[in-house]
Amino acid sequence: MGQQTQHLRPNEINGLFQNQSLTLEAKAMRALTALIQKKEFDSREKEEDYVEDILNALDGKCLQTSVVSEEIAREAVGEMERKKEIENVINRDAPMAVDEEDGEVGEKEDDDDVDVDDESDDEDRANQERLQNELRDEAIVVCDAFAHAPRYQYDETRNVFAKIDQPATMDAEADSKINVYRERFHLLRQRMSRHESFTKPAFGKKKKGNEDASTNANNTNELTPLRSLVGQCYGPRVVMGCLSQVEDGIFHLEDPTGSMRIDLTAAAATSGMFCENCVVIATGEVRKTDGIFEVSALGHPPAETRRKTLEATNATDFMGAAQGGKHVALRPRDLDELIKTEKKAKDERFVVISDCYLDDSKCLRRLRNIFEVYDQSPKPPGLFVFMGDFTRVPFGPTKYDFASYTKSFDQLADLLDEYPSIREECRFVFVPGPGDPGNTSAYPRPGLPAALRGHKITACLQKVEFASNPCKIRWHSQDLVFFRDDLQARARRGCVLPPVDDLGTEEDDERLQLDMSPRERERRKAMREKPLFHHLAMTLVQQSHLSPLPLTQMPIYWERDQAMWLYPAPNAIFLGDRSETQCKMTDVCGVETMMVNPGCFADDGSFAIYNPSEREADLSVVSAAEM
Amino acid sequence: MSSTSFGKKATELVKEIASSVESSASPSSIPPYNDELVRSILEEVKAHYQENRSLAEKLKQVTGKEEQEGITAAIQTHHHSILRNKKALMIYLNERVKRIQSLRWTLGVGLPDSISENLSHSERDYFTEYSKILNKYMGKKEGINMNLILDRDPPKEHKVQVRCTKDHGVIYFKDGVVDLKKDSVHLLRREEAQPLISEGVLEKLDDT
Repeated sequence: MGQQTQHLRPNEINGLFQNQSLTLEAKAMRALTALIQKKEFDSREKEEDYVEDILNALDGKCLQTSVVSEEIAREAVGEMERKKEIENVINRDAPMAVDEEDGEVGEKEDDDDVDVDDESDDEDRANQERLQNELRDEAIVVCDAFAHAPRYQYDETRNVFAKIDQPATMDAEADSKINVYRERFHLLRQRMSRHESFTKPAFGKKKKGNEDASTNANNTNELTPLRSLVGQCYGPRVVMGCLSQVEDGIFHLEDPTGSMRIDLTAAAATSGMFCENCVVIATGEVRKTDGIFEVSALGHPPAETRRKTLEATNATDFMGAAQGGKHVALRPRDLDELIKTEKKAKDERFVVISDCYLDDSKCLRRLRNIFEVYDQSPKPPGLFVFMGDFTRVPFGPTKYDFASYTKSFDQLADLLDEYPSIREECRFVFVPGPGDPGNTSAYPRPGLPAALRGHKITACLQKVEFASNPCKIRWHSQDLVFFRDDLQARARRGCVLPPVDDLGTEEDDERLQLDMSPRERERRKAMREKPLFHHLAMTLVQQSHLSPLPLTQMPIYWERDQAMWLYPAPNAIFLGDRSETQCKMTDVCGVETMMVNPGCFADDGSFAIYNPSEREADLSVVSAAEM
Repeated sequence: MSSTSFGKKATELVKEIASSVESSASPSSIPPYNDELVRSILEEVKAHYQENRSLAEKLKQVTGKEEQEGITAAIQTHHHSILRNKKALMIYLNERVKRIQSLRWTLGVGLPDSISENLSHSERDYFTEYSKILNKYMGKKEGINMNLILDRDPPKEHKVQVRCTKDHGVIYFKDGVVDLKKDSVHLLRREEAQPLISEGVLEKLDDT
């Protein structure tokens, strides 16, 4: 071959792509040829191998067309090289990955491989450390309600969530408002339709063969659409609808087929808060005298486990965690593998601090204490989440001192400057609170703009994000939701029925001799101590929504409503709520969701530490010791 | 009650996939994966199984020959219902798998959103895995270095005249770079135009 053909020619590359019916865009071809020339492989075979590797990486991606754009090509190349790098490190130091103690193993290795050049060994180790840090960091995916949250519309004929390509706007058309409620209803209806107590039994069971079957048959409630209630004056019916108050004190249930006036006076409710615009399930009968549906029992639609949701929704990415090439949507088949990786990361900790007044010296002293402790530990936490408000006096008509607001962030930057390991290794996420400047009244609210947070903090921290409120974070298989709002008080105000305590006292448990695990016992104790928080947790998880309230009480940008969804049920909800003190509730509604209120850091120094590998949250308090 | 409807849902499922063969215009179309029906059939199977277990328990206890025969017949019925359901599910899945494979041959590696929404996530995985294997076979390194998808019918000419149906950017072809603008007409090599034609980006002009 001539000298010119040392490198693969574009036509040859094209040929390789053609074999797989792929067409390259001109830009992509230019990029690829440039890349291959830069690599300076020593033979053509190696170059061909390289192209094959790229093709393999493309195979793994779900392509939409056969035309490869430059962007996709670059993504594939990046992915492939990343994979190679990881493989290299893992293959080279297999024992390292298995063993936790870096130092010890490192020493052992030195003894074993005497012939290995020391310098390159050091370099390897540094490389590996860097890579591990990168991997650790990459595992945390921050999903901003504005930048990442996708939009879906439920397609009733196909029973799938179809993605809407149009970007969401703040000033939406009136139709979007109707869609907010429509989508919320469909979300819960499709979830309900999978629940066993609301599906038709496979075949009619007349015999009472075993007890299970007979009770099951009684519990199987088929939902009646509201329209077909008209004229049905006999027998109890189960309906599902959106609770709405059309006139003062007169409640209606609404579903897409129609609406029905209901009477709640005799209704017994399950735990949870029943607010206006919740989608509820009501059992009752149409009263003969006036045709009003008399509700005898009111409940929330039953929750569903994460795994089941993922299976049933075809791994739809509701969070927007599939960002670019690095992250993909969570697929059920990957779950087990991811959980294994999670278990390995035993040292990972996430610190969640709410109401962190940065202009308050006491708060800063407390922060200093926290940083001091973590600075000395071998592995600082991977993630710090600071939730607002960041000033003692909330912003409003009488307070608009933006300069001092920016300064308080500079103060934090000064403080962090003293702890280089935290500054460099931890990722920081700031979630604004209701008292922070900006458009505060409607959700989701965007993160703090650069003008407000100053430049010092972004310059000081290597990994920092100013996320929206609420903000969702994915860590391997887990979804965590961070929300700062005084939701408990808000929801309690909007309750249609007073929340009921159905738990009984501890003595009742003793008397009934319920067989409970310690974890369950602890859970029940927490529920008794903080009944309202328990009700709120139940409501949020069962409604799959952070704000099951009317838009008048909690305004939401219509087209961004899906950023408030809790679907599939997240592993943990961190709700910074000043109307309640620090507390947590595990296994809400039996779906492995945990709801934690980290408490008000400014008041008593309370905050929460999440241990993601064990899925445990610890409530902590730090005192503002004199320095 | 509805006890006569054993296997009815399964029949529905098979009918659905069968009717989609006749009604659809192009063979590459695939109806949405009927997750709900599949799940309810599986529930049905579970119920049959439980019924059978309780019947088997009962069978141990009864002594009369006639009663025994009655129960055995019931067990048989349930058992065959399970088998029938299973068969129907298999038919459904198998037919879908076949069509997914044919998607790879007719559409190429790209799976447009409109189709991929109709597949379940495991079917989507199947498509990528299948595509991977096929690519490996057709690749240069480990395979035959030939694109089998092209020219499944013998071509008359090695170039085709095509018209572009939409703007599709500047594309690299062996003969040079071509800007695919809407309604522009090009003469392209057959093997290069084919994937774009099957995707609907290009339209063959001299289709004789």
